[in-house]
Amino acid sequence: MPGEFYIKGKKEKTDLSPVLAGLTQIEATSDAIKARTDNLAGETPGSGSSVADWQAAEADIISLGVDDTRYKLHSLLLSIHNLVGTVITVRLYTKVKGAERKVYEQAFNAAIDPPGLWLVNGTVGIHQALRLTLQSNDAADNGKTVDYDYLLEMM
Amino acid sequence: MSLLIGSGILSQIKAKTDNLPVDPASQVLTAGADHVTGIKSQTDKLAGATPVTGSATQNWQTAESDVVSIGTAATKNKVHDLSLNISNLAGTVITVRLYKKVNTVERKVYEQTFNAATEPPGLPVINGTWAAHDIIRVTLQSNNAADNGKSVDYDYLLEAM
Repeated sequence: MPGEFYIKGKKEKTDLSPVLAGLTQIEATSDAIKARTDNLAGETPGSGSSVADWQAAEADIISLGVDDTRYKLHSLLLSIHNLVGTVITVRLYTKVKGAERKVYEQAFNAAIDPPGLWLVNGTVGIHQALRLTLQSNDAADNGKTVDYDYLLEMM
Repeated sequence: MSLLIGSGILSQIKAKTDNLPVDPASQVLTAGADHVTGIKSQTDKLAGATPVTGSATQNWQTAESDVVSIGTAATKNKVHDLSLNISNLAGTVITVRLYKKVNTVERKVYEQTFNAATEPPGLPVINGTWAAHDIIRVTLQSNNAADNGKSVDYDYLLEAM
């Protein structure tokens, strides 16, 4: 019949296999894009508290991040509202070329400084765990709670 | 059976279909895939480059010396972190300097002194985010001859833009 020629002639042109292959490629690429853009939402904020004998010895509050995993640390806050020491020393440790080093140390006075300490108030990239410690000069701070709050974004 | 479409109309249809591209759907997909690939090349960069760690050994007291050069000429990068380790040094005045090009000429853009005896051995020299589109050169100098021949570790994290 007259119309049959056109249908037969266009049969190859309506082959869907290249379209399906293209869609599969786009799907794989889109998955990779989504994995990256999902990271932009940031991790669930970390919020909690730590109890230690802060005067007896320098003690860990928390470790942020994971070794060999790239993160942006956007914020790190401590609350020392339960402490009374006049020398509250906060320290940060992380690995530099594989060995953990102290990279930050600052002393605060619980009597006069704000109870919330905004230790990281910008963005810093980390690819090894960042360990946070505290030490007090007052035995009354032993057994007291220190709160923390931080926000990470996986890279 | 009766022919419902006249031969004239069929000729018009043939004229139009003869000019159709071979596979219009896949051509559109190819163009779309190119765009998506372009987007992916940017989002891949969000993962950051492989962190760089290493060490440099120089006669730090004899003269200011290079620790490391970060980045690439004519290439945009974000520097998210640069830490040095001076645990092997003994100088009371350890001077760290950063140099980068300003209007094509390298200038010193940062200088800070540390005391290896009293300060933490890890120095977070860049602890925020800097953008650079050329090389950042990091140097160190000590005031103590005992530091000559000692190693200084470095660790940095870049994100290509």
